[in-house]
Amino acid sequence: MSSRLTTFALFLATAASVALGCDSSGAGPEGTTTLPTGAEIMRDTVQTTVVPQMAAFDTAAQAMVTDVDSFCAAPSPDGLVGVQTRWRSLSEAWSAVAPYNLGPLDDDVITPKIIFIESMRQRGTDFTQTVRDGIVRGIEGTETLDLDYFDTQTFDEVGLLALEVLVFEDSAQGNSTDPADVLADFEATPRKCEALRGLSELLASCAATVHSGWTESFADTGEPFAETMAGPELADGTEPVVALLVVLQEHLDYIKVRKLEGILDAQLSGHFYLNVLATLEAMDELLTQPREESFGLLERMEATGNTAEVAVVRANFDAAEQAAMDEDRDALATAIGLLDGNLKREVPDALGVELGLTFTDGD
Amino acid sequence: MLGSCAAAMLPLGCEDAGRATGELWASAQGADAGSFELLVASSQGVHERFASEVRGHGLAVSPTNPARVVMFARRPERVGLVCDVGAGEIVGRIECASGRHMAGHGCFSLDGERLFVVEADLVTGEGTIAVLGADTLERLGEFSSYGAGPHEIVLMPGGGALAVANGGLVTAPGGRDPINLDTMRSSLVFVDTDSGVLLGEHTVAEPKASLRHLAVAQDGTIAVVMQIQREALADTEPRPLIAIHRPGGALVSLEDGLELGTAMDDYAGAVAVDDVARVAAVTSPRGNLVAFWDIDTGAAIGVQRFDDVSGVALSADGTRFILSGSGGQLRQTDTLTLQEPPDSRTRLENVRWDNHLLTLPPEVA
Repeated sequence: MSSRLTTFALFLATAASVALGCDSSGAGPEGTTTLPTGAEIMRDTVQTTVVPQMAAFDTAAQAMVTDVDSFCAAPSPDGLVGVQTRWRSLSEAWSAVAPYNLGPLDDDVITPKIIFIESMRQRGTDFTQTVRDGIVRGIEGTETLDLDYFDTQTFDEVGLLALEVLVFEDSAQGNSTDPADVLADFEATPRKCEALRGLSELLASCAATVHSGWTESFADTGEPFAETMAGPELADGTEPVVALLVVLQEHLDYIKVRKLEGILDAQLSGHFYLNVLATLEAMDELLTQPREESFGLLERMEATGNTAEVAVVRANFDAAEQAAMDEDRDALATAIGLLDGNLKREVPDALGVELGLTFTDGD
Repeated sequence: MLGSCAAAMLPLGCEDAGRATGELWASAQGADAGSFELLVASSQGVHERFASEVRGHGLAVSPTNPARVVMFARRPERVGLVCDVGAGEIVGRIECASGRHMAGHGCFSLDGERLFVVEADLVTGEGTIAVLGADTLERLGEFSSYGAGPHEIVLMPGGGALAVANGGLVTAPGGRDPINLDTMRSSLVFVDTDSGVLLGEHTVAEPKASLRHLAVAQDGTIAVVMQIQREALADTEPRPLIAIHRPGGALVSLEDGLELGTAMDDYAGAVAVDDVARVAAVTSPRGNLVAFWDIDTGAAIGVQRFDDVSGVALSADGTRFILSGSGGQLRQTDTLTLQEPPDSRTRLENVRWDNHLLTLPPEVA
């Protein structure tokens, strides 16, 4: 146990009554330190995990633009491998932040930013054919296929899926994924590179907007969303920790129901399981906060005596991550289901937060 | 609550800037056995609490005895609570007929003499409308609801007919998960309040839409809201969540704002209608939002985000939609402008508003 936890463990009797709720700092016995407040934990959690993950996604998206430019300047087999590798890295960086479907990613009720990055997130629909048709239509047209062009397209024709289709298959009938065919298609059709540039720049623009929403200013609040998450409530009245737990649950449910029990995505790149692993590791890091300078939600649970619950959560994360590494679809679905349950019960119960009453149980 | 009290929110005990001082609302509340109640509150705070052995759902207030409030249990429970809000007493308890469960809703007759309670057969799900004496609570008779899985029931203007939303879903005895998705048939029916004769029946085009909740305008226009049984559908395309019935007409699903169905996660929680603005307010706890439709044009005219919102009711003066969230929040939206002033928001501590909200008559406040 870390030295911090040893200190905090001295106050289990006091700390047990201090829920992650409307809290004063929860002063303990004389001469001893106290647990961080809920707001402090949220600020820690957001600043040490979410914000860096958002920055990493932004960086990866900008790097995609750079690699696309290099490839398109002189298409080559190594260049194609480069952009394909970059796409995989980008999709993992995205997978780490995709659970945070609130604030900048959820900026609109009908067309939130998240669906312009991952179109499947809207309703679980695989828009691969829609993307293919859009690419063909664009290439056969006369408009400049730049960021402005793709910014006018619907969400189901842009984003990571569109980039994946472009870099991993050719546009000919049959949509070959043989790298030689893909490269030949780029060489024969310069407008494909135009489309690739436009789409990568659009995604980079999205990523930058989302990142700045967390770190600079979001909507008309005038403050970074990271600050809002450390405050008492979000714009719709939700408590930040509740909102965070709910979006994590919803994302796990999305992976399980829409993907594992529905349609696996990232199939052209063969990167589905590594993307899920990236999501799980990011969530694990969010809850665990392994850095010495930060104090996380699981630590809070342990410090308030919920060590058994934390052990269960950690075991379920381990099982899910292993299942992802083993590419075991059924085991992954099971493990994710268990984690979903932990986020609905053990974690909020141990943190002393109440999730919504009516959003899960129907009438 | 995490963090400090926000200036924009007015927890109980803080300075009140609400516009509806004294106005009372009632709702089932509580998340766990042992905490279930019928709660009466204003923007100032809790007015009264009545302990309930079961989790409540819908409520009804007598038109002739405004202090008389009934809370109906949600399925698969079987009892309801009758309270005198003025006296602060539980005055009675109603129970389903044997072999049935309550379905969460009921209403009084126009003269306040009878109480109509929705029931469903434990095994077949076939719906019944029990007719009780409003004062004696004795069972006087019953009508068929002409469908399975009945849910909300409202009295039509004039008092001669009941409108019933038959959800079409059958659940296993004691359970809540539907077991008849393949064969479900949901309908809006009209039943004569005296004879129980079926006066009309309507369905929507989508067979996997479960009609659940109703709100009726004074001209007889009804807004019906639905929950799509997505697991029974092969596609992921959005479906309408609201339909309108006008007297003598068909039940028409509103296509405008179809994408709101996705944002609402196929789930409309409750509905209220304002006669003057001709607006229906529809809550979605799964979408964390309230959506508004013009009931005459069918146009989707607005949406507001509100965490785990479910209850909605028209204010006593008919100028606001009162909205409740399960975290104890209350918000007020102007029916004409759809503006919702943040400074009128309140949050009642230790209150977990449940699915439905009822505005009590001004005489009770």
